[in-house]
Amino acid sequence: MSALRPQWVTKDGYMILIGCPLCGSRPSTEFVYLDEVEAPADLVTDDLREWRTTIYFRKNSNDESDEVWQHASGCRQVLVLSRNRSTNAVRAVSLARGSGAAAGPGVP
Amino acid sequence: MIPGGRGAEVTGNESRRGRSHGGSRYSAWSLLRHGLNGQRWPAALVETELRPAYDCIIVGGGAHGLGLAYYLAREHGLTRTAVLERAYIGGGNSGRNTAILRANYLTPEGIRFYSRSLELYGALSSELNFNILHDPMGHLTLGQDLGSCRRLRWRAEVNKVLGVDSEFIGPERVRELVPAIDLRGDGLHPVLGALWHPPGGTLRHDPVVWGFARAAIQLGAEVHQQTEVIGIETQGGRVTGVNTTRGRIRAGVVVNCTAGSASLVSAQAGVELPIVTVPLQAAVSEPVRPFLDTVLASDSLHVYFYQTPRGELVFGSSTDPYPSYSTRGSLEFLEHLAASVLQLIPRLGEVRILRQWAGICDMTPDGAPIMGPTPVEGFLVDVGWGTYGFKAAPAAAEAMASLVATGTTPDLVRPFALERFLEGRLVNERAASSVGH
Repeated sequence: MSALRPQWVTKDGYMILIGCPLCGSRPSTEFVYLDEVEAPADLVTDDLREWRTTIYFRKNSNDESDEVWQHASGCRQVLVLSRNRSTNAVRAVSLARGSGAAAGPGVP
Repeated sequence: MIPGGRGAEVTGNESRRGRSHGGSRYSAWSLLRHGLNGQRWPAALVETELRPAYDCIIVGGGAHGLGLAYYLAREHGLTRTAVLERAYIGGGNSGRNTAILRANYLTPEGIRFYSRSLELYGALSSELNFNILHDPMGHLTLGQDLGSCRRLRWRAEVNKVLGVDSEFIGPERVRELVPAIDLRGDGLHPVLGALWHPPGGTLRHDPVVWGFARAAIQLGAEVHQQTEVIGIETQGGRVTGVNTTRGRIRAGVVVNCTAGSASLVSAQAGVELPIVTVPLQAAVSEPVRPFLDTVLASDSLHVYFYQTPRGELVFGSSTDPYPSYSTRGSLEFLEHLAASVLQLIPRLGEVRILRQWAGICDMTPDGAPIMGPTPVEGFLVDVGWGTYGFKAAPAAAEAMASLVATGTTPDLVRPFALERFLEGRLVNERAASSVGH
C-alpha cells in the first residue's frame, strides 16, 4: 500500500481531497464510494439466509474501514481506501487491481 | 413481556414512585400566576438517582425513546422504565432533522404507519400539555422530469386508495400554491406536475422531545442524561442488563431506540443489523419576509425546504455520497443546494445561509425501519429509520410500547421485523423519499 499523508482532511474531519495513487491529491467529489471491502463469501450457497446475509449485511464500523472507491471523474481506477468513518481521515489509498481485496458488488 | 402492567396487581409503593415528578400543568392561568409572583417554573426534567434495576431500559433519549417511555406508562401502566441518554435529550438526530411531517408514502405498510403518526402528532400538543407547534401547512413535491412524475402519480394513486389526502396536480395549481416559483425551472427543469399532500407540514423538535420526557416523568418513568450504555449483558441468549458509564443496571428488557448508532448499540448485544450509516445535511437561512406557506420539495432536484414562523428557510437534500458517522457539513452540499433552490425560486439568490449541519441516518437496504424482537431474547430494536425517523416517532413509540408490554408484535410493526432481510420479504420504501437517497 502506498501510504499517503492525510493532509487532505481538515482538522475537524471533513474530507476535501483524496490522494489517488496515479493522479495525486484530487477533490473528493471526483471519487465514488462503492462498498466495503468484503471477505470473499460463498455466493453459490443453497442456504438462502446465508445468501441474504452476504447481500444485505455490512460491518458499518464507526472506526477504521477498508473500502472500495473509484476515481470516477479521473483515471477511473478502482481503489482501496482505509478511512476512519468517524473523522473521515484517509490513512491509505492503493490500487485495488492486484491487491487481492475482493471488490465490492458495485464495482463496474 | 413485562408483568405488572395495567390490570395486574400493583405491589407496594415501588411501582408508583415518583408520581408527582415533573411539575405543574402549563396553562394561561399558570403563566399569569408565574408572571405575577416571579417564581421559577418547576423543572420539566426531574433527574433522580439511577437505580440498580428496571423492568425496561430504553437506550437513546430522542423522540422514539422518550415516546416509548411515555406510551409504556400511559397506555400500559408500566413505569419501572429508564431512558438512558449518552449526552442530553434531543441532542442527537431528533434535533438534527428538518422536522417535516407527511404520510404520502408508497407502500401500504409505510402509509398505514405514517398516517397513524400524523394522527398522533396532531393531538400531541394538548395530550402532552406542551405546544409542539404543529403546522399542517401542506407538502408539495414537484416533478420536473417524466420519471419523477411517474413516481409521484403512482404515490398519489396508492395514497388515495389508502385514504391519504394526496393528489397529483398540474403547474397552474403549483403556481397558485407557491406564487414565487419559477415554473420554467431556470429552463433546465420545468415543473411538469406535483404531488400535493395538504395534511403534511412541520413542527418543532424540542417540544416533542421535552413534552414526551416531561409527561413520561410525570407518570413515573425516569430519564437519565449523560449516561452512556457501553455494554449490553446477556446470559444464555437473553438480555440481563446494561453496563453504563455510571455503572451496571439490571433489566429484562432493553430497547435500542438510537439513530445514527443503531449498529454500534446492537453490536453490544451481539446483534448484527443490515444498516449503513450515512450523513444527511441540512441548512438554515437568515430570516426573510413570509412568502412560502407549504413545504416545497423537488423529486427531480433532490431538495426540500420550508419557511419557519420566524422567517428562516430550512433546507434539506439527499444523503451524503459515502457512509460516515461525521456530523460535519460540506461545501458540495451547499453548492448543490443553492444550485437547486435557485432553479425553483431565483430571488433567493440574495439570501444568506446562516448555518448548516448533518444528521446521521441509519439506512436499511429497503428504506424501511427495523422494529421488533432480535435473536437475543428481551433485546428489541426500533432503529433503521433512515431519513424518516422523526416523522414516525409517536407511531413507532406507541407500537413498541405495545410490544414491550404484551410481548406480541402489533400488526402495524410486523412487516418491519429484522427477520424480513433473511426471509426475503423486503418493504420497498425507497421510492417514497421526499428526494432520492
